[in-house]
Parts: sequence; structure tokens; C-alpha cells
Amino acid sequence: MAIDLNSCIGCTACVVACQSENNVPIVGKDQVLRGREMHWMRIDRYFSAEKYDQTEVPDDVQVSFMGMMCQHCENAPCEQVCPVNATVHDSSGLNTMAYNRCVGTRYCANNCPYKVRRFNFFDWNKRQIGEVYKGPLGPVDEPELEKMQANPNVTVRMRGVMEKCTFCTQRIESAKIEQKRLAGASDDIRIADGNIKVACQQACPTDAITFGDISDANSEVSQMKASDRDYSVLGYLNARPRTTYLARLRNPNPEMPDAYEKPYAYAQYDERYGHGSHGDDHGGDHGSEHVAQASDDHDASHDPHAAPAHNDHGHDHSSHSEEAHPAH
Amino acid sequence: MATTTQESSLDATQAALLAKVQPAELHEQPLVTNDRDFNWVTDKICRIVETKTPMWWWVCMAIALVTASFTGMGLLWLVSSGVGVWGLANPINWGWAIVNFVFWIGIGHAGTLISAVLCLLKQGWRTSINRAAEAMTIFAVVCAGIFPLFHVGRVWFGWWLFPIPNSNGIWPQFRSPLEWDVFAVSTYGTVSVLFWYMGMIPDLGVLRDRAIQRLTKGAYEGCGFMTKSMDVFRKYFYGVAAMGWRNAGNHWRNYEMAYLVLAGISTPLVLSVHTIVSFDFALAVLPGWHTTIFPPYFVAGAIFSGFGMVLTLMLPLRALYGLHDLITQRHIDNMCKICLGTGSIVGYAYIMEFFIAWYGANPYESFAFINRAFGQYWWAYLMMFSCNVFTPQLFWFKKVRCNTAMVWVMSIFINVGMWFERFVITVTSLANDFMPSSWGYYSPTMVDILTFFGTFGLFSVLFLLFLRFLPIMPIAEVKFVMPAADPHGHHDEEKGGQH
Repeated sequence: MAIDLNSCIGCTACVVACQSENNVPIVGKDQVLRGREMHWMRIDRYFSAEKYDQTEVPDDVQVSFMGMMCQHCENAPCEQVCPVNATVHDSSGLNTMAYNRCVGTRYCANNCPYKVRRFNFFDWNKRQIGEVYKGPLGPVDEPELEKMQANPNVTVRMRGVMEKCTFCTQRIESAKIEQKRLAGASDDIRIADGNIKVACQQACPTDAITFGDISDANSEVSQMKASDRDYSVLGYLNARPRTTYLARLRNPNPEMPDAYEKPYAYAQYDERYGHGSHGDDHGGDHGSEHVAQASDDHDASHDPHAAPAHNDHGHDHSSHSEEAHPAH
Repeated sequence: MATTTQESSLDATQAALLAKVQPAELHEQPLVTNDRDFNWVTDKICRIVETKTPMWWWVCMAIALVTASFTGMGLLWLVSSGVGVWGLANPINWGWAIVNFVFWIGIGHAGTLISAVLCLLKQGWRTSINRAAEAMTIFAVVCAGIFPLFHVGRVWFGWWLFPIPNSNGIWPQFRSPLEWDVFAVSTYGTVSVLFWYMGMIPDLGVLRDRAIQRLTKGAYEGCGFMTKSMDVFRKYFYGVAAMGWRNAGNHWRNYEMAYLVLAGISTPLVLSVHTIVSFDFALAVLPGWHTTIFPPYFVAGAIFSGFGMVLTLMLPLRALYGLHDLITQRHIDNMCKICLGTGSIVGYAYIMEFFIAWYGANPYESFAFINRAFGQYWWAYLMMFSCNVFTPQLFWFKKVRCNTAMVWVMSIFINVGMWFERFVITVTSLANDFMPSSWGYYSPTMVDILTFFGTFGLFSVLFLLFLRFLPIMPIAEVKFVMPAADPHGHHDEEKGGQH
């Protein structure tokens, strides 16, 4: 999968589509405030401005959006630490989640550097929202209409199991089945590019998300990944995520009155603004406002604490020097 | 004659010289003071079991049972409603439960060190504390084991972590540190119980034999609580438990050999078990967790907190049962010195972590450590640092070591500090990790808190039962290290103790 950050406008249609497609439970306001929202996909926002003194919102704030879902790492940190083999890698490169094997130790969620895994802390589907703390003494709430709303191709998960983006494996499987059906006796079971549309990709109004077969050099996603702007988030961790991002470019006109020199790399940012000057530690819910002190014109995740993501461009196969980025 | 005079004058000169250069006789403090004899030791230890239960025991037991019920209720609510009754959320998926697990397992390591490592190192002073310390280990492992079992989302499938046939037909994932925990903790529990029980057999035999003797003599008038019916119970209870111990020479020979074998097996466990527990953290990618200092750091910390707990238990016991001649100032001194040593290693580890975070120039790592000290959990870090680094350094001073009340208070500080250390490690690295959009803040709920404090109740219940029904010291081992057992002859201190 490749996500073009230039195209992403942060509309969160992908989040809603993912929730509808995969029966992601609704947890209610109280649980969201406690940080237990179940969305498999989230939109991270990174803000930048020339000056930020933490007392007021600057006038010239710019925002970059980054949709985060399971990166389906080839060298997944989550797979290594699950004690019961509930999360494994399948032959098509997906990091799969076996709900019926998961006992819920939550080590996988701890080890995921992207924090894309969601744990079912309560029986969201079985108990009434707001009454979950009563456990078996609370009211059972499984109205037929809500059940009919769910996607029959996807299970609903009970409490105590971990869930995450599956690259809409049900859609992948139905495409495979359809292709095999069409192939009949012949061997032509390769799915044509564009026949699988995952939910987030389908909903995206700007076609920022591209999904397909990376073993096929002619597929759209392979061409996206061949771009110079392509990088992996937190690539230095060597998790080798299969979801890569195409860096956001800004092309400000240097003759504009409010133009200013933006640092290229983390080292320059650090020199200019000092390390650890960012003091806002309240994470709160995901996707909350998070203001960075420098603005970069070539990347989205320029938060000082996530800086190396743009620093190394995350290319798994080559190392570009920090200066070799698209010029403006 | 001239030669004799010469010889005798030579002797005189030599004697005079020797008197000048000979170093002063160092009187090593005996391990059992006040010139006690063997019978006193046996009587002292056995009478704790044989006499009427003191009132303080009933009071403590009542409080302990009530406290332990909190754990029961907390776990019941947890399993019936879901992990959400705890304070966990994204991204802090491990909170008090794992902190408590590491805390209790760490405490257990001191008992095994005293029993096994000090045995192989031939440290005689271990004898009056090793039985109770080993009991502490076993009960600590029981308390610890509750948490990794119950913190999982689906406790009823917890058995899938064991490599036994299951409904999915698949093995556990052996590359996971949690899986290694299963093996480490179960091995540790098994070996500890075996060692403890096997070591107790001669003493259980003594209790059985004393009960039989009293029954044979039959003189029970005016003996207070030592009633005949209790002795009949003791005869059978300790009779079964002593497994036919006959105090024979070949029994003792086998016993000594088995003891050494089990000590040899337990010794590597002191290092390996907490190393594997530390791997739960060290093998993750999170900054602040992913460091190679964790195994020695955790093991040193475990011994540190364990000895703190031994002191917390032993000092009141010493006062309540009048064991001052058996647990002497020398014992307390040695335990304080071990606390000082391991506490210094822990302090060094803190400083080294900071240094490496700076030296390694990894911005995530350096942020993780600055955040620990100055971020949202600065208060926990302060508790940890002050209790663990400053407190044990006071043990350099003999005045402090000799002040029993102060030692006891400090031993509690040590354990509080060590709990906070595990809290800081677990929660700060999870709360503020790679992606700031996922940062959060963890607060325990009442269920978290009560479940943890309930385990102290559970520990106390088990320990009180141990005190009441089992010999709290190994009678024979204490006798081995008494001055009266010295094969070169026993001289009391007025005679200068030369042999």
C-alpha cells in the first residue's frame, strides 16, 4: 500500500469506511475519553509554524495529515512477541490476526511502534455502551437492527482479543475466489491490478491510498513506491513496513512576504530550535493537536520526537543523503 | 650450659617479639549469641509451633484475610467484565499488573539467593534466615503468578501458553519473552518448593518426634496449650510430612547431597529467572525498554528488593518471637550490606542508562529518559530515585545498621522504591513512545489498586500459616554454625577463644 500525503486532505472518510467495513465497535464517549477508541485507522495531524511559543496558536499554521493503519511490517515487532502465535505473517505478506487464538496479553500492542493495534477491553458488541462496567450483571444489548448493520464478511470480536487493520483481507479473499472462479481450469489466478479495492482506498475522495500487488512491477502501487518521495515511517527500526508514504511537498514562493527559511533535516531543526524544547506531553486521544516547532517542506512527520522518519527517507534499499530531497 | 641459656634467652626474645608483632585476636561475632546450647535451639524453634497461638497472630491473620479478599473480588470483577475495569488504554496496555508481577518475582529472588547461593558460598550466617526467606520466595511467586495469568484478556485460555495439545493444534510461539516467562516462573516455583520442602524434612521429623515423646510420657497437666489431642494431630501431620525421616546417618548423608544438588540447581535460577522477566521489556523495540542493561540491572534490583522484604519480615519476627540470639546484629549487618551493594548497582544502572541515552545519540532514547525524569511521571521517578539511590547509602554507617527500627523503615522504603522503579520503566516507556499522536496517561483504577494491595494480604496469610505450623528455622543448620558445634573445642569469650 502507498499513501500519497500530497493528496490526503484529512477528511477521515477512510476512517469511517474502515469502521463500516470491518465492524469496528463503537465504545462510547466515556471509553474514548479513557483512550480506548477502537478505530483501526486514524489520521495523525502534524502542525508546523515559523514560531511557536506554546501560549497561542500561531497565525501561519500549516498542517500535514498522515493516515495510520497497520503497516503490515515484514519484520513485524508484534509477531515476535505474541506468546500464542495469534499474529503471524501470511504468504501474501499480510500481518494477519487470528482472533480465536489471541489470549490478550497485549504485548503486540506494546511492541508496535506505530500503535495501530486495538484491544477489546470490554464486550463492546454484547454489552450496552455505558453499562460495560457491570459485566454480566449489566444489560445485554444486541439489537437485531444493529446486527444487520454489520458486514457479514467480517467477524465481530469478543472482549480480550486484539484487532487491527487487516488490509481488508475479506476483500482480498473474495477477489482471489472470484479470480479462481473465472480462471476455471487454467492457471491464470493472478488478480489484475485494481480488482481489489480496500475500504479506505475506496472511500478516499482524492485517491491518496493505493493498494495492490507489489510483486507486480507494473501495478499502480509499485509505481507509487518507485517514486523518490516514498519512505517508511520509523524506517530505521527495520520493521520493513509494507505501507509506505509519499512525502508531502510544499512549494512556497520565496518572494511572498511571509516566506522564511525552513530547515531541511532534523539536525538543522535541532540546531535552530534546540533539543527537547517541545514540552507538550499530553497525548490524550490519538490525532490530537500536536504542534512542531519547525516546518519542513518535504515531509509530514516532522515532529521532533518522530524526526528520524523524515531524516532517513526510510528507503529500505538505498540511503539518500539528507540534502537530496525534492527542491522547491 | 651455654647452649641452653642461649636457647632459653632466644625463646624469651622470640616470645617478647611475638607479643609485639602478633596481631590482636579478632573475635568474630558468633552466629548464635549468648552461649546457647543445642537443646535451647531446638526448643526455641519448636515451641513456636507447639505453644498456643499468640493473639497478635490472630489479629494479623484477620486483617490479612480481609485484605486478601480484595484480590479475590478484584479478579472476579476483572474476569467477568473485562480488562477494561483496570486503567489500561491505548497506548499503555501494561500497567500495575505487570509492575506487580515483576515486583513480587523480584522479591522472591532474595530467598533463593540466601538458600542456594549463600549455601554454595559456605556463608554460615544464612542458616537462621534461609527457611523463612525461602518461604517468602514461594509465597511471593504465588502472588506474582496471579498477575501474568489474570492480566490476559481471555484468562480461560491462559493454558494455551503451555506447550500442551490444544484445540487449535498449534504450539505457542517460543520466540516470545512471555513464553519464556512461563518456563522460567514455573521452573522457579517448582524448584523453590522442592528445595524448601526437602530442607524442612529433618525439622518436621523433630516436631513429629517431640510430639510422640510427649504422648509417650503422657504428662499433660499444667502444660497450657500443649494438649494431648493437638499432639496426636501433630504426630500424624508432621509424621506424614517428614516422610519417614529417621535421623539416621545415611539419611543425613542423602539429605546433604540432595541439599547441595538443589542448591546447585537453584543458584542459576537466581540469575536466569529475573533475566527472563527483564526480557519482557528488553526485547521490545520501545525506547527505554530496549536496552541490554536490563538483565543485570533487574537481577541486582531483585536481590535488593528481596533483601528489603527479608528485613521487613525478619525484624518484627525477631522481636515477637525473641529470636535475638539466632538473628543477631551480624545477620542484620550482612543483610544491610547486601542491600547496600545491590542498591549501589541499581543506582549505577540508573546513571549508566542516562549516559548511554546521551552517548548513543538516539533522539527517542534520550527523550525517553528525559521524559522519565521531567515528564508527566516525574513524581514516580523522584520516589524511585530517592528510595533506591539515597536510602541504601545510609547503610554505610554502623550506627544506622545497628538501629533496628531505622533499618526496618528503610527496608520498607526500599520496596516502595523498587515498585516505583518497575512502574516508571513500564508506564513511562509506553505512555510516551514513538508516535506522539498515541501518547497517553495511565491512572490505576480502584480495581487495580485493591487487587495489588490484596496480594499483600494473600502473602501475609500464607506467611502467617507458615509461621504457625512449620519450623521457621532449619534446626540442624543453625546448630552447625553455633560455637558449641566447633569441632576444635568450644571456648567462651572470656578465655580469648584461641584454639
